[in-house]
Amino acid sequence: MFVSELLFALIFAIAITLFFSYGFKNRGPWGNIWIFFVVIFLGIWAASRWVEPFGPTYMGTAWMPLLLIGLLVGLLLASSVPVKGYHQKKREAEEAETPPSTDKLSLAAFGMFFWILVTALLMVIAFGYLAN
Amino acid sequence: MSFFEVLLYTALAVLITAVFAIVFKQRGPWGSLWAFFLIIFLAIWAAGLWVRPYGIETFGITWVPVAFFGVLFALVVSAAAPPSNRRTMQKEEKIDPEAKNKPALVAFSAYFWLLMVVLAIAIILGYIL
Repeated sequence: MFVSELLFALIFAIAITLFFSYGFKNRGPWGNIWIFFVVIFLGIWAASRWVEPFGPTYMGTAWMPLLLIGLLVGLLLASSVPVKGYHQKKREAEEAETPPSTDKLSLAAFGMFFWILVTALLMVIAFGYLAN
Repeated sequence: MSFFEVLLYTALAVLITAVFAIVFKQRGPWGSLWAFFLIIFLAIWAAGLWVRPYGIETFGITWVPVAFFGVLFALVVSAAAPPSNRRTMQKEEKIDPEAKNKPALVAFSAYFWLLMVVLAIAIILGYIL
């Protein structure tokens, strides 16, 4: 169970991250593909322990709720990205002589809630295994 | 679906929204208390239907995992919000004096409404299946 759940969480998290990142050019509020992936991966993994299983099973794991939770978290993150209008995009493109380092900006934007969320998700996963 | 069930989920959503808004001064990336509440309420309702029952039971509802899921979702929403503490805002204002007048809110994108629809579908499916 542990291996299959981990595998499903990993596959779905990669697929959803790629789907949002390349399909919709959306990497979440942090603008970082790795952070987007980690939040979705942990969310799916936590869900695999707590959500009531339904639908088809593969390797003993009901994968349908995991995919839905992953998409839900992906949507939540994608919905948090500021929307830029055409004129704002154009103005920014004209103003930007040297593009700023997005990695530095993203790292600076990691607030207290991000780390609480990551810790909480890890605790949910650990408690899920201990309780069951 | 019972009246008490919806009442309990509403109370939990109000409590979580109030704690995040008053204690942490957090209204999510949209800067709207109503949007924050709506997301948490729908997530709690969906969780009440899908999350494995566990822990204390009150009037036939195991509310602990549901409340925990609500807090977790509130954390996701808060984590996604841009940092708005005083020091960061002052720093931004020094760099760009016009930033003070700019709205620091995230607009309701198509993703937000899609999320609403997906949560609503999750709730409906929870009753049908």
